[in-house]
Amino acid sequence: MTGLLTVVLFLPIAGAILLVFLPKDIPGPIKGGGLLVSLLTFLASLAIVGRFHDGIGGFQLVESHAWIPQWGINYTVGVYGISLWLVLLTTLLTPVVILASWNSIHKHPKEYVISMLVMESAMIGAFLAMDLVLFYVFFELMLLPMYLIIGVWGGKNRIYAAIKFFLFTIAGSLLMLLGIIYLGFQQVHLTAGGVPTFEITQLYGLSLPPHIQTILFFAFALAFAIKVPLFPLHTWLPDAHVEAPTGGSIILAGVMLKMGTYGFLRFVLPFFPDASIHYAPLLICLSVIGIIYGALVAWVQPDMKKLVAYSSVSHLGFCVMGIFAINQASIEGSILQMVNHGLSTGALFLLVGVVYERRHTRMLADYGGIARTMPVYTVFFVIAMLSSVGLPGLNGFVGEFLILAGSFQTHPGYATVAAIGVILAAIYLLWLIQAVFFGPITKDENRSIPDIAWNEIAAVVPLIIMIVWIGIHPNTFLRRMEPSVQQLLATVRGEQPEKVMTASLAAAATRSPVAQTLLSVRSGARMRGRQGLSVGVQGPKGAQTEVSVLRVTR
Amino acid sequence: MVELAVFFVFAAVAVIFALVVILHRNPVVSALSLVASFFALAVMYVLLEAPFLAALQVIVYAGAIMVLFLFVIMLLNLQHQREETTRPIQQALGYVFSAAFGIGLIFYLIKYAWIRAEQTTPFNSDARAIGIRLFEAYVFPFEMVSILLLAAIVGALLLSQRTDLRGRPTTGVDHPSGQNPEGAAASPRTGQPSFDAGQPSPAAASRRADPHHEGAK
Amino acid sequence: MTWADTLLLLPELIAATGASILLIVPVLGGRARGHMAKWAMLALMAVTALAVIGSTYAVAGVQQTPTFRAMFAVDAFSVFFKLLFVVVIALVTLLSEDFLSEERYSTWEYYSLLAFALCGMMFMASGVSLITIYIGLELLALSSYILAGYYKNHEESTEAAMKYFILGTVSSAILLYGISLIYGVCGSMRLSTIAAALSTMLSNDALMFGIMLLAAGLCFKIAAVPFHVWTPDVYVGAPTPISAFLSTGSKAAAFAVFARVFYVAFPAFHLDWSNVLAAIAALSMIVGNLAAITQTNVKRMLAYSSISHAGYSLLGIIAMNEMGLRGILIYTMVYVFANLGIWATILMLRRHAYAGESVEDFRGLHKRAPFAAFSMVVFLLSLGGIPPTAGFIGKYFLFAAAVQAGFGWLAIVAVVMSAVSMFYYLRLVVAMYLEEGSGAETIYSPSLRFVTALSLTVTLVVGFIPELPIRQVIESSSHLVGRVVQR
Repeated sequence: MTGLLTVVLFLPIAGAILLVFLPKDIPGPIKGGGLLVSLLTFLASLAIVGRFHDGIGGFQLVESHAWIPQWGINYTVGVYGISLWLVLLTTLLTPVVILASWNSIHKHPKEYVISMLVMESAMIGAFLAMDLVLFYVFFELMLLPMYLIIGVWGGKNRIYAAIKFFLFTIAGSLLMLLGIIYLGFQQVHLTAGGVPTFEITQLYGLSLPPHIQTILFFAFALAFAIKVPLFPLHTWLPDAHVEAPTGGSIILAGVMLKMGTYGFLRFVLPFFPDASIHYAPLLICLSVIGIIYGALVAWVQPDMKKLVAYSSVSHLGFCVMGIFAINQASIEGSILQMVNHGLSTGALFLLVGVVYERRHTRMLADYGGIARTMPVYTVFFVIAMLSSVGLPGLNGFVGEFLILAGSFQTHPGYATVAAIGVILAAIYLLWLIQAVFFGPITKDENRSIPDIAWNEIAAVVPLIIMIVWIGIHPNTFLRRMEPSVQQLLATVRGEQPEKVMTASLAAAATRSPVAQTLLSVRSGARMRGRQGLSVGVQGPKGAQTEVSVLRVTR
Repeated sequence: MVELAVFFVFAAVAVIFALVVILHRNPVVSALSLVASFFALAVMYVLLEAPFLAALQVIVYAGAIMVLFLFVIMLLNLQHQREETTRPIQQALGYVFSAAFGIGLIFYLIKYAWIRAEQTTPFNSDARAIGIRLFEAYVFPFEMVSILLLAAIVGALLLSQRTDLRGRPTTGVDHPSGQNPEGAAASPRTGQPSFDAGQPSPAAASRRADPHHEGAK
Repeated sequence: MTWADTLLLLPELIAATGASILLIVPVLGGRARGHMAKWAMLALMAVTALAVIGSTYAVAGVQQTPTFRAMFAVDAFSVFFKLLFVVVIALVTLLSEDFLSEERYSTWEYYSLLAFALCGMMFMASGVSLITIYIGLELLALSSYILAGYYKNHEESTEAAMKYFILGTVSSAILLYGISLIYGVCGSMRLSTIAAALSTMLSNDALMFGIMLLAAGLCFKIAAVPFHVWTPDVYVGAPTPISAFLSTGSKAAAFAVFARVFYVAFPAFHLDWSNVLAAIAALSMIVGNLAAITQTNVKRMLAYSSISHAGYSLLGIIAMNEMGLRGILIYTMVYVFANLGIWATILMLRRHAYAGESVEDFRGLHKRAPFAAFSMVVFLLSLGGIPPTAGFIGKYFLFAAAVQAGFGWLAIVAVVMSAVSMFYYLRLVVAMYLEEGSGAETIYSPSLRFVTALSLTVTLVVGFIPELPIRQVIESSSHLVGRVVQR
């Protein structure tokens, strides 16, 4: 099936357009429709995993159409090991969010569902885009629905939070736009007719002079650092989280923040390797400050949602640290941790939303001992919390362990300090559990809280399943990202692409014979594909050829 | 040398009277100073060996247009206008910028006053030559000016046209007052509309005073 | 002069004749039928548009047809702008309908002046000699002064017209002074002759002074910063449809002239004038955006925003490259449609005289007029340059041009100021979507609806499928760019 990625990308938006024509006053069918569309998208995204070739580091399932040929801007999408799981995380979280908001969104349900679906498309688009301008378009497209979600369905200070969120993000991303334009015009003289190129595969390995790398590095890094958010730029995040409705928080923490870390991996490292290596200590330092600072601030929060929000600052600090430690283990850990954080923090926000629905307060002091009145709820919350803490056997452990193990090789000092963050996380999350669930019931209202409802269980169970799956068998996920990470590292270190090519193929072959057979079977199935592949293996053209193989295959 | 002396004298006259035009409070004096300034300008044309243009300058501007100006001023019987209150900072900035501009201008004039432009072709400026150029080389802009003047006449008529209280020309057919959406703007017989020409309405006045008004209601 | 020459002049002739006919109709007894004026005007616009399109076939295959002793030229560039002008005037006509019927001002003369303004704008777009450009500009300006003062019984309108008139004439005088200096140095007013003369000339002060004065005069028309003070007062005081016209059509015409004069005549001294214009552009963006933040009156806010947009567009002239010229064309188009859409919404909110001005009037608009509110968001995003609206395409061009030309710092200023501009654009979005409130009542007539829908379509189509408009822009500008590249 060609166009699989396009289907996944545009299915939610198509659904949103259909929903526009539904009348306003039937919230049931509207939410049902939204759920159906997002579930279909999820199924379609599972097909991406099914068609994903394990042993290949480059882009797969690539589709390319001219969009603005005069500027060399194409609609090019493709998936590779680093983005695969993030796409799946997005498609998984969207139905979860719609389920979770089933009974909590009463105001303008139609617009809410539409915003969520547009968000989903934009996020998937940003993960899949292989053209810088296309990426930028999706990156910006995310802003407005999120702005509305915070601003319309948010809490008391929602307008302030929404504007702050919007302005912070756009300030960074506009500078990135300049960087994108500059990059695109780097090779203008090489192409016929002076058309710039924004295809990232053509821009990888572009060895720019150091001073230009530095400028562009900061233009891009600022945009992504705001999105992550990295320590001094994080101030919009707690406001946004506290004011956003539960669904908004889940999407914000679960996927949107990953745009930042993903951007570092996909653009900053491969485009500006020298600058990245040079400024890695700075970013690691900031992320370690973020880890400790986020944890400490989370500790003293009286508000559950704020606590989880600050824990996000801390957790994403780990992701950035892993990325800039620049080695196989830490980057793989970082990618996995992005997914983990999406699952565990998403679950936590969802569960905080559940009690908020019932009690309309998020203050720790207003709860206590509700484990007795809400036993099922407590089980889910504790699992999500333990995942966030990094208990072995659950997903958080794998990610944090890989990041710390990787970082110890390159930056032992920072890694040691960061490890304190893990301990702090255990403290503040256990403190939360202690204060909310155990101990005597001090408030009468807490004696009669209804336990978690069917829609909330349906929303949280998939997350818990994934949390356990990643914890027990992370290799399902790591295996598919490994070749891409290897290739990324090779680009950063300036190694010759063909070495990577052979390395990743060899790695694939040794590790998984299935992968090799898969390759040969698939290439055998398509004549053109096989020709391309044989060139790819024997020829000296390397990674570039590999991409072309996949293009032919499609 | 004599030429230069004449130039500077009349340049000074032109500038001084131009200043009087904008600085004097009596419109009649201003208009007359403008005439004087135009005369000084005519002398410049003579110095530039363009006597025909000089004559035109005197006849058209000083003669025709200025007389009309004076006529209108007398007809309107304008009183001394009170000076608009401006913020001192605005005034100061205005002076600074115009002084800077003036100094720059004088600097360049002095710098170039001593350079004589080369005359490549003998400059023929009699009425016939100008007429031929106007209707040959410049016929297109010349005709464009006619459209410009037509638009100007329309504008002048529109702005000076006597109108009834509704802003409609008196010659027109009146609309029934029920069509007026606000309905408050009174019928022409009984009272003043809220936006009468002479005095600003209380609503308009309050609107101007309060920038946060919720619309003129 | 031949018949063919006159045929090339057909659009302008039709506009001028049409304007005169519109003037005569009331005398012949059309006064009572004021509502017919709109249809007459729209018919005139349709005929003019046909004539403009027709004139392209007359010059098919030829890059440029200068005629009337090379004072007037029909080329793809002028056709692009003329069509844009005709559309703008037609949309302004639609915007004016309610205003005229409500305020009971005479309609025929109003449309006649609009047609005169159109005529002037078309002369500006086609002028290849400074003298034709100047007269066209004056024709436009004169019509605009009177239109701005059309509410002659309103103090604000008269005041606006007066301010506009006085500052406008001063700027025209400055422009004329610049033209005369350039004429003195180059011995010609034809743009191509000036360019030829300049290419063999060293930089000299008189010439630079002339270019600067010319630029200053044009900067007044586009409302760039040191020459912007008239903008807020005029936009607020003038009748709203005229404010819409001034902020779109009038500016677009000034940009057409700016682009043609600087790209054709002055590429030789690019290094000398580009830095001055860069300073003006930077100031426009900074002052315009920062001043807009504090405004509570939407018209004033739009005025300051239009000042900042003049700054963005100037990037295209400063850059002096292919991207830049194309950027001006497409940005002007994009900006015009987004702005017209916004003005349509303001007019919709207008209760009698001057309402629909305060941000509070927009509160909760999405409940009362969901389509208008949604379109307004799209227009505001387009002005802010957020993809996938047309504004992104325009800004992309301009930023890319600046980066390419080595004006990286200016691009950074532009980008930072774009982010700042989102702050005040968002205030309207906040008011419309996030705040509750009854606000002003709305009168959403079919005409306004049409203007909104058309602007929305253009804004979205250019944003989503920019290929076609970009191709058009390249076709419309390549013959002017060719000279720059040859340099």
